[in-house]
Amino acid sequence: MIHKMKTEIIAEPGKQELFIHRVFDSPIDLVFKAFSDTDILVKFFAPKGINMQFLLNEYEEGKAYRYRHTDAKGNVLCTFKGVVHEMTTPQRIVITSEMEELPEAGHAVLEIYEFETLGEDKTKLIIQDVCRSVEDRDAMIKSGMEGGLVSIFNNLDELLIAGL
Amino acid sequence: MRRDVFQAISDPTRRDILNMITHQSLNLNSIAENFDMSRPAISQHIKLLEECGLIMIRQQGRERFCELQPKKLIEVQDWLEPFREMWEGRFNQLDSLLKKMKKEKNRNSK
Repeated sequence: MIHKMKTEIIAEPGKQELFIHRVFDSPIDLVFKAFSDTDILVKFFAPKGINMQFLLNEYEEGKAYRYRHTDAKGNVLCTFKGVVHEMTTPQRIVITSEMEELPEAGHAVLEIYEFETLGEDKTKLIIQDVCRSVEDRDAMIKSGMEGGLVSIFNNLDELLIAGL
Repeated sequence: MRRDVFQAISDPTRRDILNMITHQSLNLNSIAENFDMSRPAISQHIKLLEECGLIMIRQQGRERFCELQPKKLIEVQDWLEPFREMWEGRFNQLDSLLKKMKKEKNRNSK
């Protein structure tokens, strides 16, 4: 399979923000729905084989959310919590997000999801993450958030295929 | 204090220094001339760049020349990749979901 580089990450050195760009071959209302409806969100936001569950499921403007990723054995991988600052259909979602497993509380991230129509069947998503410090942002990228875990699981899959 | 490539490139002066020595090694004086900063301050930046492995300082006669270590910079280029792959994986899963959602939507509107 050819690996297409569809997702672009823009993270300038020395800044406390980063941008994620991606274009979807779908109309804006569907893409927005996928990111605002938690029933759909749990189907794609966690890496393959990882279960995502909302412990607090009030994903609406002015309310709060909390979700957790667990592996097949039920081990907790990470828990995120935050509040929904803005939910403007179908243009924008603004939330805060904090990983509870960090060694210290208070490192919340401001996340802005902007949806933009590029055509009848094309939507651009721009996510802007604003961290408290450059160090926070770099740590977030370096850990790959759950990304580090994804590669561990991918490696494990390969090991299992190879007969361990 | 942390000593890695990411700390090295987090400062604009240090990024300027790295740019200056991309194509040619320069001695400390020629680097310092380009900045409105004291020589000791520039020396501090260069010392940190050396500690982070981004430059090598070579003594040539009475001069000390700064030489870029490009291998370390390649690490920086790659550092976004796991993070990008995490999002790519997420979005690829969403692509298949959106296909299904589109089909359902078309069916319902018929």
